[in-house]
Amino acid sequence: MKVGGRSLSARQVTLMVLGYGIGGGILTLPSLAAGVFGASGWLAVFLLGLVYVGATWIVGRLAEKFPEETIIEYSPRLLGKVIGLLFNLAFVVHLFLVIPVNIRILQELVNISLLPGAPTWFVSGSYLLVLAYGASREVNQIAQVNELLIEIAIFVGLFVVLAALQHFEPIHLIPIFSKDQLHLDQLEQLLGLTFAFGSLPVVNMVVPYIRNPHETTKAALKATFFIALIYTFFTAITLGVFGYKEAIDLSWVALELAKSVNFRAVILQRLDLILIVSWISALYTTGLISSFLVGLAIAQLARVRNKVYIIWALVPISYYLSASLKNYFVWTQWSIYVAVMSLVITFFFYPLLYLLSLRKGKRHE
Amino acid sequence: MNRLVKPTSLQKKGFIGGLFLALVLTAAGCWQGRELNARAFVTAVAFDRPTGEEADPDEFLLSVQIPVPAKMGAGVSEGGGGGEHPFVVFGTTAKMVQIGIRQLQRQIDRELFFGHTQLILINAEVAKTIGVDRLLDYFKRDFRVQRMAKIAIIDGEAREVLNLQPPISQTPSAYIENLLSPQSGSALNYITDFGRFLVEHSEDGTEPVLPRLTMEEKTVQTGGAAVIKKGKFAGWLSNFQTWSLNILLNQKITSNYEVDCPLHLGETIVVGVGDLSSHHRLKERDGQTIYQISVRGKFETVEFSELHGPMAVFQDELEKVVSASIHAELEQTIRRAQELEADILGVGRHLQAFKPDLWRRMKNNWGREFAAFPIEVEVKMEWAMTVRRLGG
Repeated sequence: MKVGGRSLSARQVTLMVLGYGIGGGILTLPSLAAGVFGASGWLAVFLLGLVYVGATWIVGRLAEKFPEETIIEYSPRLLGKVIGLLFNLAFVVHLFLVIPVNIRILQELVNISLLPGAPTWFVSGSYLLVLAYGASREVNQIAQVNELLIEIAIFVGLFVVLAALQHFEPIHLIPIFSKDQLHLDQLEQLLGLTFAFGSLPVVNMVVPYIRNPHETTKAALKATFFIALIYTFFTAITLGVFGYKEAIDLSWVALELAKSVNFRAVILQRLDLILIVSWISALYTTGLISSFLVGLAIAQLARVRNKVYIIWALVPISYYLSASLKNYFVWTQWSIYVAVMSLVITFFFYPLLYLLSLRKGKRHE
Repeated sequence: MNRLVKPTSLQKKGFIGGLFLALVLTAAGCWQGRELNARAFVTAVAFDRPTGEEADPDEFLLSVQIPVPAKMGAGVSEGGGGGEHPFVVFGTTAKMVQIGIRQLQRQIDRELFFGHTQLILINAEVAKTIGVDRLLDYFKRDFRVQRMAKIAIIDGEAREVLNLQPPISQTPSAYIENLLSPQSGSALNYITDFGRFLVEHSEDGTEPVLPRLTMEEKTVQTGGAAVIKKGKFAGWLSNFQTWSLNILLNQKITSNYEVDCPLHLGETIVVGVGDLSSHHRLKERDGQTIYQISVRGKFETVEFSELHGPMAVFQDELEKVVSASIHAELEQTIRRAQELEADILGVGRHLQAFKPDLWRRMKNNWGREFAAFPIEVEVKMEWAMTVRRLGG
């Protein structure tokens, strides 16, 4: 433990996991869920969330076993030098790929509603600079910024969802797993669903900064369960309002939900704009934490003393990649690649590392 | 792990400067901005048959209503703006909406903007021949178009509605929008909007309904509705069928009703009906699945043709009479829907949700299956009796 002391509270860790997880993925999650599971997409999201809660327990326990190190540091000891290095590379790539997708989602949202026609160099460029600047701060500052922004975003998001209840029809949420509506063959959409849940790397990277490392598992479990609840609630309301068929056809279903809400005689008539403005905060927290983790991970891998140089050096690469995700179809495809990597890491490598750590512990005994 | 560097004063200044610059550029929301007077705000859109006799049946007449801000001052009703309309209507013939917009743009020196479009009006004939799908495709793909825009089928020329001067001082599209909104207070009107139409249209096992507007000589009237089946106009519902549909679909309406006095032949009692709720469920009887709709509500006696006023002695009978009258009208609406083979009640949606196996067998031929599907209505009305005056 060398950096700035153990400054993060358990609550901040919970919010960092939330801040990383809740971002662009939720905006399209109900459409993907409806595409694979039909009207019962909301239940599928909840069940998937529970699976991730189980995975979180493993991740948390693993992190607690190495309270002084990040996963980049201890994985070569558990997996061996070569496999450990390969794992670390995959881990870093998977963290890094989130950034271009995140930037691209922001670009599209801004173009859709706030600044139509604003060019990539301006929107993505300025966003990326603010991301890099934020990510080069110390972890406690990042946690504080995240704490503020993600709470605002969640509050506004929940407000929009609750406001949309005026159009909610419970019959849209059934039948449960009817074979007519199940399209499990749509593997890409199924994988895409998991993109929104990939916030566990935060736990293994920030454990050296946590004031009480033994609280890591509890904090992470809280966050993942809360994410599962938010996603389920949001998907249920969205499908309840639109029905699963309309939800499948909508690209930005969350924005449409906001557009369907009308408060007559209240100044907040256009909720979609309010949602977009606040959701930029949620996107920012994802990008910010992701950039921080990538910088930290590469610095540890390459044994560079100052991660700030790495964060800034990655800016042009992130920009180039985000600009190459030219449209909705390309970036959703990209998010599926990220989801696949995340799945392998979460459900294969984390349990493997945990088992190896248990075995090593026994040997020491 | 690596020590994080503290920001230098120059870095801080650079960040604040950058943030300020970004705010200046974005806060005004005017990247590639257009001044308000460089935009033509389309408040209403109408689709009609082209006027020429040899017109291509695939083409439609697209009309847009654009307000003229200079003529929309306070004195419109007093002939403000020189007594001219505070709006202009442009039209063109096209096969696709975007092509029509392009043609219209050639006549207008400002960019047509659909972000404030409040009304989409479709002539019944166009809705029948071309269908609403092709007409609305552009609007459902444009992010700027609001889901809350009102949409109606016009019994007559839709373009004429756009040219209508409202009787009370307000913008014409706001006037029609209000007519189609709950604030109009008419129970004969089907309340929906573009977003709700899209949801109902996309669902299996239910067909959407749109409100009807009828052009009179110099006025427009609401009342009645158009049934849309597989994206095309299938037929009208009368005023009372629409009223009944509102009850069946739980639209929380109130209305007045004339019934015969149960004790005195030839006398009429007007009752105000409200607090209506309908409960839909599937029931099994003798091995057959039945769709049952139970309607509950309350009524008040609001006017008597004779002087006896409300009397406890006819309470039970009056409740039965009111229930039977409403029941008869609901039955009529159901028969009309079955006659059109259009499931506007959502029976198929209930089958899909609660009897998926049965739905699987019926869905491919649902129109015909619906026409023969047993639907029962049960109505029970209660006399609320919050009367101000007893006796004559």
